[in-house]
Amino acid sequence: DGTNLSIGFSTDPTANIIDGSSIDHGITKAPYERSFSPYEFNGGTTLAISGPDYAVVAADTRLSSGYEILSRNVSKLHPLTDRCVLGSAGCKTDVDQLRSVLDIKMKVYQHNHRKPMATPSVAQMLGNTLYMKRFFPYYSFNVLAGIDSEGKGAVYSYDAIGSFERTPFSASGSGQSFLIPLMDNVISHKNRCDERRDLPVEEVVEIVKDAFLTAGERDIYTGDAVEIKIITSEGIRTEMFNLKAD
Amino acid sequence: DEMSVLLASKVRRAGGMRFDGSTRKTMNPRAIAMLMSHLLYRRRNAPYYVEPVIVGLETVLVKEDGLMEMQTTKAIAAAATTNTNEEESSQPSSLSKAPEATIRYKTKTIQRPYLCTSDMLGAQSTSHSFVCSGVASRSLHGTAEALWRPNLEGEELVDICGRAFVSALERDCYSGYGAVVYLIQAKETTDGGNESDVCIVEYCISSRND
Repeated sequence: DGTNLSIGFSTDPTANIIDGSSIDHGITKAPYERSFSPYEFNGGTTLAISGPDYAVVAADTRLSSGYEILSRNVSKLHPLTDRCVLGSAGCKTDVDQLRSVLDIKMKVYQHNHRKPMATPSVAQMLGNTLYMKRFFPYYSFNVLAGIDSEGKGAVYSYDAIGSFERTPFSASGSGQSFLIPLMDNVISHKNRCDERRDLPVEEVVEIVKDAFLTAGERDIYTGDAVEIKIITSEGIRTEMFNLKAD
Repeated sequence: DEMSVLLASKVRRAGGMRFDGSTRKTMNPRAIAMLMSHLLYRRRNAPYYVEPVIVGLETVLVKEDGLMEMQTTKAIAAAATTNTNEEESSQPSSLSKAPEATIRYKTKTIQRPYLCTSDMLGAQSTSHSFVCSGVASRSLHGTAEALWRPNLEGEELVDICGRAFVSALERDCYSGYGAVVYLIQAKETTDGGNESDVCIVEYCISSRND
């Protein structure tokens, strides 16, 4: 019967009195120190899906800090070339700095090689850039989406220190655990008995909107609006889709 | 284990089950959920490490046309009486006449699904759509939220539930190896009485062995 919380095998008659003193709230008994953390989580979710000749990348536009919303209209997607878009969730300042560094490296490449960087090369460069800060990482959870040199859609998933892999789809940020199993089922067609068919880009965009509605319902850091960029060999097209603002 | 034995014994006593196993009546899932919350909160200082999910069909008396329950009409009547006591009430006059008017309506008994999940201290969370708990609960929230829609019936509901569940399990290293889906359905009894039979069908889903 758990109504009596016995403290060891003490024979002290006061040991059986139920009051709050045996519960250590971490304040009175053990001293603790408030330390400065250089990282802050500004929330958000990004999702990227690749297709035979397109790539779709989407991210919500909410910027939050703790339980507060700082802005409802901040973009998390950044075109690096006109065939390649980087989506990042995490700490906004690290994301912005990472983008500046990448932009500079892209410019240097363009000047040296007289052509824009191909998407697999951008992927490798991003991985290397993240690993250069292995011991004080960029708090940035990236997805890279673009068209590779053969014209096929390419999506790369990253962790915070530069480990990357080309995948059929990728989700990162606070809503990733809501989206990834859904994408497994719908995009990769896992655990399904019906026939698999190729999805056209319009249907994938609808799936992305549904996915963000789901994440927006259950994740407090995701909401307000979704910015969707569709990358084909013609270029990048942008769409906005409103979500619940709660 | 102790939890389930404890709960089973309490439910049996409450449900009036006799020693030979025959029942007088079955316990409402809402009542079982309340009992569960109570049992969990009794151990507030040393909780049972369980996060239960209680799902069942409860017998509800509703009006034939709308779905307004018996007790809701009483609440409106009570509110109307208090409003008539105030001076210069802004209520429309029809509402103040409600206690005097006799309301006649047909009622019927339906079996309505009741879904409830609880944290390890007994705080309940109910829903009309779905509830989930466990190590993969975030993934389950995602898949269930996307795949659920209202008025799913029978085999389709099992299919959706199984898909959502297995997709979420595949992404979690602590869960897997297969799943069991229980479909709780109300079947109309042949003698046309008020009680309808509730049957539970078990579906086993096999999953990859990794």
